[in-house]
Amino acid sequence: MIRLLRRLHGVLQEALLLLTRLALFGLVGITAVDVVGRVAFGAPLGFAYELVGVLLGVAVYGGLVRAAWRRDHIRIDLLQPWLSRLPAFDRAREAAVWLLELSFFTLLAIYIFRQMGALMRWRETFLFLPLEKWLPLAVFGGLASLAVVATLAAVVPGLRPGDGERAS
Amino acid sequence: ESVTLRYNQWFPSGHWSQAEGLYPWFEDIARVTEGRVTVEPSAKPLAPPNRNYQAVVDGVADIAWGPHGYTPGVFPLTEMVEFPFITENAGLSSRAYWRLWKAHFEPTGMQSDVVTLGMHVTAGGNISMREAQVTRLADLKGKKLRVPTPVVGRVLGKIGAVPVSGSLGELREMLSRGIIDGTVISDELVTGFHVDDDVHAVTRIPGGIFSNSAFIIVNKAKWEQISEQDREAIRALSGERLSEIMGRLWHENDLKARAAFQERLGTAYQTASDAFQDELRAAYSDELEAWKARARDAGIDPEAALAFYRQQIAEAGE
Amino acid sequence: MILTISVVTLLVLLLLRVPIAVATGLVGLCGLAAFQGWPAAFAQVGIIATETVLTYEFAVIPLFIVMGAFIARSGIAEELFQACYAFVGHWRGGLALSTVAACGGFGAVSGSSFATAATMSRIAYPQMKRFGYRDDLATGSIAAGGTLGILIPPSIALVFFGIITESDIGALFMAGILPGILGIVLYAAAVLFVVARNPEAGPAGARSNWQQRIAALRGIWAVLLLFGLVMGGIYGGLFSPTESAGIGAAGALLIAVLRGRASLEMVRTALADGIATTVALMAILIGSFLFANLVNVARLPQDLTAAIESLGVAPLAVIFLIILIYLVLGCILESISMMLLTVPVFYPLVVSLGYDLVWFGVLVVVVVEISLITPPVGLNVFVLRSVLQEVPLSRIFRGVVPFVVADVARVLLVVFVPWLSLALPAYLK
Ligand code: NA
Ligand code: NA
Repeated sequence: MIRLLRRLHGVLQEALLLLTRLALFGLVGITAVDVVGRVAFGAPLGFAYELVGVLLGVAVYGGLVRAAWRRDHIRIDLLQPWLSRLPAFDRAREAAVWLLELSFFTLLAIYIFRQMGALMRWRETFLFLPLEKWLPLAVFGGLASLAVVATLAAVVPGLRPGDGERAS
Repeated sequence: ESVTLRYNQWFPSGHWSQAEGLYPWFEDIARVTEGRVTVEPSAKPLAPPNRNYQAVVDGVADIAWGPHGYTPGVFPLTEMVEFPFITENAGLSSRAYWRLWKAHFEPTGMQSDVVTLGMHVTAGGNISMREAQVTRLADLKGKKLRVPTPVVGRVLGKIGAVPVSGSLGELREMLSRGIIDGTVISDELVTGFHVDDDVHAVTRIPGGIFSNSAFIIVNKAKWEQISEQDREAIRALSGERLSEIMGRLWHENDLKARAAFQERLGTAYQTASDAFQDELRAAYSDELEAWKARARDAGIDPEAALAFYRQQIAEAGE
Repeated sequence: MILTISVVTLLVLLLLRVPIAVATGLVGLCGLAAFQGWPAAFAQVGIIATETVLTYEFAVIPLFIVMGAFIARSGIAEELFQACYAFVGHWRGGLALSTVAACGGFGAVSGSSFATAATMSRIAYPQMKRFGYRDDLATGSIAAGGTLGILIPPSIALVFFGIITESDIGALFMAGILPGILGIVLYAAAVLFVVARNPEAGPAGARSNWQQRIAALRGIWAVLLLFGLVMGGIYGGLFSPTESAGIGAAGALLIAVLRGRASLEMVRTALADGIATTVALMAILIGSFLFANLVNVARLPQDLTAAIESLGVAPLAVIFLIILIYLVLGCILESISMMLLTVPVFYPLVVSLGYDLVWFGVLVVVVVEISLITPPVGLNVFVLRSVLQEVPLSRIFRGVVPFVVADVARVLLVVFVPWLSLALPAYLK
């Protein structure tokens, strides 16, 4: 069971890494094509501004999955030396911190989906990108949900970073 | 007992639309309700410009002013008042627009999740260029123009111009550095956003090449907290009166900006010839038909609404 | 009251190692709920979580980070260092001087300062060890030098300031150049002061002949080209400052290709680096926006301005008070969240006192730079520590002291000589 999950997890991480790299590379490419098109050929992409936003969202929420699993967030380590001297307190603190991370990412996922619902109801579209605006939000929400799952996986023995062979 | 309304201050607070339009209205509200209802502008935006409407629906802000065009697709009906050649005098048009709203738009259930206290239009836009004057449709070919709405963007794109998107905040950098050759914009915005130094030729389109439709709305639950007597007093200050005040401010400031422009640019401030206007009208005809279809879907008779709006503008002008 | 409780809670959570994004986000949410009710507070989570990533301007963060990552992996940092070394390596402290100068040059082609410290610690530290540099001067000069890039354009920090205050980002970029160069000069002075007092701290390296020097200069064409492309493109009207990030990233990749440093693996690694940093910063951005909305709803900016006005404090005293607040906050917060939380509060006040926003932008970034190297939270020091595991944190922090003194001198110069910040933007208007 855990082996299957781990396998699934490995495939998922690879897929997300590919997706986010493509999104980031797309950001560079779209901006360059837009500017060169405008400057050299008088033919900008028009929707470049909005497409860049969509790609940024994919890169951020796709990347959040891996960051959440590795619990790789910027923290302040000021009290770290003192905290490690109180092992019992530190364990409780660590559990509470994990719970807060889980809550925050869960709220993000829920309210991205709620926002998606609102835009869908209002039939909001982009200005230039021929796309209903809720569609990319559905992708962001899906990725944010995976970040919630990844936060859970971060504490499951066998799925934690460092456990098993695919902990890259 | 007393109710404080948070106003989403996303537009520069020193701009006359705020300082001379909305703020005096806020003061009037406090005065007629004897301080039971006050409006507090936020120090910085409570929600981004394209979320003005949602912010009021969800109670993030209690009161907001903003253009309908920032959320494409959400308010298909309002595109009607944004079409060219229709906004000669934003004050008179805004009075007509409020009546159009009451008679045709509001009954469709539009904006039913907020309380609407004002609907107005802004001054009609002209073609403002960094260098070369535009005197006919062919002059626009290959020109990079910042466009404020999708309708203008599609029409300009069709006639061979290069529509460039970009926020109002970026306009100055785009114009001063020559990233764009020009923009379609109302004269008052050019002076209001201090970009007039970079505009050297204006082609005025009588009635505007476009206009903006804007709302003034209040959160429903907050509105319910206000006593019926005070709500009545606020309503008396709002609606047609408020819409006309906002529109008139736009018109007056547009005239001032136009006079300043004419003095500075001389012959480089021109009015579009009849031939050019006819060319533009032809270029817009498809868009107008497409809007009529959308309007029918949204539940109004587009011909009747257009006729009503034109008639109200004409009546107001007498 | 709600705001006070929120700020205290935030500090406690941060000290308990709750991620900055999570702590600011959750405290912001609860505070907003206290003011506006839960539905409105939750709605703001949805709006901020989606609109922040959909905003074109914020794409400069990943783009500038990718630009830095491409540049870091195209060998430019080594060559900058070698070029500087060829000229001053034989001086006492010459390697540390080369480090500072190379960091400044790297900053001119990198929008993010994190890449600088990490890259330079791999290049400069082994050299300084070889010539017997003391650890505190070696690591101090790298950690401090890494901060130079935050002000020298292109700069994420200046873009942030421009977005928050709606001021001209192109003018901010120009304004950062002279104070950035001043930073290099003052850091060089700090190095010379250290070796003058204690010659063993930074022994002289080998002398290069003129042939070697001219050969070493060939390596810096890429830096000049890329800096010229980005700044020239902005001022020549080819693209906007926000677009310059994308052009800079594409240009950095192109330069790597021209130099034969590009490979699929290099691009993959640079992109992965970029994603990790982007996610960390954007998460902080989202959390900080929630907290900033709380500050906004609590009317702190208005109350603060009113209080200052009623007290009749001299404008200059207000500026120094703001600097002091940044120095204190800089001890516990990292730079980006510090700017996001404070600039919206301070800038209306500073404008009402009659100061120039572009000047204030430079001042804020210079002060924020100091926070990158001051204990206990100095991100550049941590970056260095993760690369050089054998050097104790306390020694790195001791090593940055002379550079912090140089930074304080620069803050005073920026405050009292506005010409430093305003001459170039005015000249190029
Ligand atoms: Na830089
Ligand atoms: Na610090």
